[in-house]
Amino acid sequence: MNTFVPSLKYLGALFVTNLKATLALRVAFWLQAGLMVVNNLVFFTIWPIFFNRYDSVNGWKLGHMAVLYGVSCTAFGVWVVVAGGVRDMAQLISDGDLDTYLTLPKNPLVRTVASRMQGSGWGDLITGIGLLSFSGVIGAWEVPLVILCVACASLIYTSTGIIAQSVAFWAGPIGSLARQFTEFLISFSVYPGSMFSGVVKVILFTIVPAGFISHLPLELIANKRWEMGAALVGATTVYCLLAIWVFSAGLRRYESGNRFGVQA
Amino acid sequence: MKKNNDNAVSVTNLTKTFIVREREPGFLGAVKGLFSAKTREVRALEGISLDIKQGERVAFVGPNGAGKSTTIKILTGILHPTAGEANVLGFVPWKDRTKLGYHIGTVFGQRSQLWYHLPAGDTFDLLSKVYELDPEVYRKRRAELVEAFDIGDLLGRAVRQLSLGQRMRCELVASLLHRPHMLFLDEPTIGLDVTAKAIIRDLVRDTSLRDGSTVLLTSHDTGDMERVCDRVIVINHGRLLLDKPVGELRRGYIRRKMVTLATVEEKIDLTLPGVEVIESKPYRTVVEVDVTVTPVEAVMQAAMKASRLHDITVEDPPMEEIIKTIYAEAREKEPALAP
Amino acid sequence: MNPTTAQRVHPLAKYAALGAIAARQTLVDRAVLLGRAVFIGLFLLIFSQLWKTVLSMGQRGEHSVADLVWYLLITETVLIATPYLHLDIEKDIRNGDVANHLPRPVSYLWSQVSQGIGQLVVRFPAVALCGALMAWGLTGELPSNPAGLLYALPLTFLACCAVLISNITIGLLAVWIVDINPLVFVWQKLSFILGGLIFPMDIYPDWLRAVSEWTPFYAYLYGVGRLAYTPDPMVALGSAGMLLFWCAVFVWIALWVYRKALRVMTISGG
Repeated sequence: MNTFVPSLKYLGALFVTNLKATLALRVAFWLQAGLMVVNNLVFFTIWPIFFNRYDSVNGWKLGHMAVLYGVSCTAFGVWVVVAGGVRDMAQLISDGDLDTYLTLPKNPLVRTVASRMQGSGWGDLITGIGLLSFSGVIGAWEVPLVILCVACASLIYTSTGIIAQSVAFWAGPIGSLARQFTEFLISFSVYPGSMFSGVVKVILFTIVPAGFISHLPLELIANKRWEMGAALVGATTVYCLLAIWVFSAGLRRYESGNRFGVQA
Repeated sequence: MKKNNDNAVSVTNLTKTFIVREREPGFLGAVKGLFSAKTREVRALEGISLDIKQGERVAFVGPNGAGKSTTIKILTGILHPTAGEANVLGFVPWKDRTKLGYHIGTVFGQRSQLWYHLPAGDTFDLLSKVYELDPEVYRKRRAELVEAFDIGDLLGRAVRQLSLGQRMRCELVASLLHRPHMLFLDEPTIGLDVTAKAIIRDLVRDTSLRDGSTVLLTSHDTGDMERVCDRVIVINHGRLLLDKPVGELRRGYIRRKMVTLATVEEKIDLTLPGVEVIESKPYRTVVEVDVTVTPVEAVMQAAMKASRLHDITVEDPPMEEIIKTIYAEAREKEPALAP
Repeated sequence: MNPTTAQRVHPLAKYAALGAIAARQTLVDRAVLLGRAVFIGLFLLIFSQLWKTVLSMGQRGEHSVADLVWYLLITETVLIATPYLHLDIEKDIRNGDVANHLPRPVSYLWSQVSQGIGQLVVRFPAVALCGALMAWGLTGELPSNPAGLLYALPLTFLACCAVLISNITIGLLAVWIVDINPLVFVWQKLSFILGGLIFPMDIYPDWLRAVSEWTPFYAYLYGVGRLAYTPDPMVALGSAGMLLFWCAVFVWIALWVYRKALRVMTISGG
């Protein structure tokens, strides 16, 4: 743990540099962020339309949907703004671009995940926070709880992203497959968790952990049961540790240079 | 363990074998490859031993796939060797990669460490935090390098707007900010024009002399090794072929020059001892000159007498030629070793 | 050998050959096909769960779960099975490859259309069949009156063709605007809302539905999708009429844009 604080500082320094780089292309940045807001809002319109006709989904109403979508959206935004490099990891790995990061005297995972900021992520953040504020479900007292939920959800997005992309250490360029995995995760996280059951539910709390990204946070915010919070924090820790472990295992393989064939 | 304190690098019997997967084509092949892998061994380094003294400037030459990059990657901690020992500045690179990182600087060919959309100065600031430099020390060092490398005018511009030569100067500054004891340069002049190459070479040499830092560079270009380095190590097929001071190599191997003559007359007749016509086309003749027999100046004079010249160029033989000569010699000495 | 035989080949034969080769290419690229099928399966899974949950609670609703899932199958098929030719065309225009096509004795526009239909001939059955099996597996039943599917099948293919032509037209606009992505983006969002991609327009507020009826999105998504639970020949005829009207409009626009684009390309050299 003695590397935790320096790593966090390093992440901060990378964030500042990334922010400068993103703002250097101002027009592109506003366009990306703006289009993302429109995209998310258009997507969300299905819910007002839906609840115009039906009363509820297992007790969940429009305000709850706003919280669900808001948590998932904000968490995704935080992820790709702070650690947008995860989305390109498979490419970096299979192109051998980790080399320059490895000769630096700092944690290569931090350098890799924070190698890029995705400008559109700010659009996700804006929509997410907007939906959370206007959901009518969240009062001032719930704000810390929401922050906890968003933090956990974005860590889960990040760590499952790292795991999926790190498969590239073994299997070569699988970037599009790893992105597809994230798409699935997003898709499941923006629909009410209460409608899934059986095998699907098990999958949503293990392999495609959309359950921890938005379904459990929504329950937690609505019911405020401490064991739900504990489960959320516990699960987040597990996914983070798993991500670090998988990346380290992959890095050992990278260091011992089995990717010769990919390079040639 | 024979550890000499004067040595920045000491390498004993370094060996690296890659396991290459042979993948079947197509989607199904990729899936199959996940379960059963047909593998093949590729031997990149077959027992290399060498020592580099503190402050020495060494060029690592050899054709593509000779093992140059593999060696550099092992010495910087990126790759683990299959067998053998190495010590860089008192560290075993693949065990103490992070600690070693504070003391070395690297420039990897066309792999930029500068942030593309930002001015280089922003990358420098970030690196000062990465290397945990004291702000005051950093400020001074940066000013010193900015002056030496003449990049003051470039600092305000985004890296993407710089020419390749300008960018390479900034790359070098980025890798020198923390006053590394050792500099690893992998093809530092690749893609540059003649002027930019000359500037980079002088800067690397001057910096090394000023800081007393050790340099290990790989290159395809004989100019890099001649202008920057004191010592040349030639490897091929993962084996050391030659390890000599640069001067000796020049005297020993670069005794031939290529002279290209563009003439007004259709043909030119040059018969001098040690001069061999390689290519003869109308208005264009290429000769190889053995400078130990006839100096180049004598050839030029003879050519000017024999015809009117449009143009004349004198070149060193390409690296491949020199290496061929070295192979030939290696074969004579140790027939078993040579390829 | 009669040297004039080559010239006597019917022009349609050329385009048929282009379509055939595109179809074969699509057939070989199985990973993409599989990806599409998995994607439609995922959406059907999510929404079948949604409808089961909502409708099991005795809420008012004139459609059954099966009706709504089969509706979604049709609308998603229209968008997922249709090839994204605008991306290829934009690339052709941007890197100048389109210039290589111009001297050939085929129209670039019609060669794109025939290749698109060639791809569609493979992708449509693959996506529709996988989706149908999934819809059937998830709900355990066919729509309340399966006869509607008989009308829906040809019209869904026609809807794909309409989308195909609109995609090609958007791609050709790259001659004037450098980046067509924002345009594609807006078009997709409009399809999403005004076409009723996810929910049938019957549950939309009246004003939104009234607006959407004037747009092509209504014709190629809701118009076809509703046949899943409306096996009325008159409704099918209405849908077909709307669809044919919009197809004609799209083709007319495509021809107009192509003629203009051709002029720009032959002057500036692509």
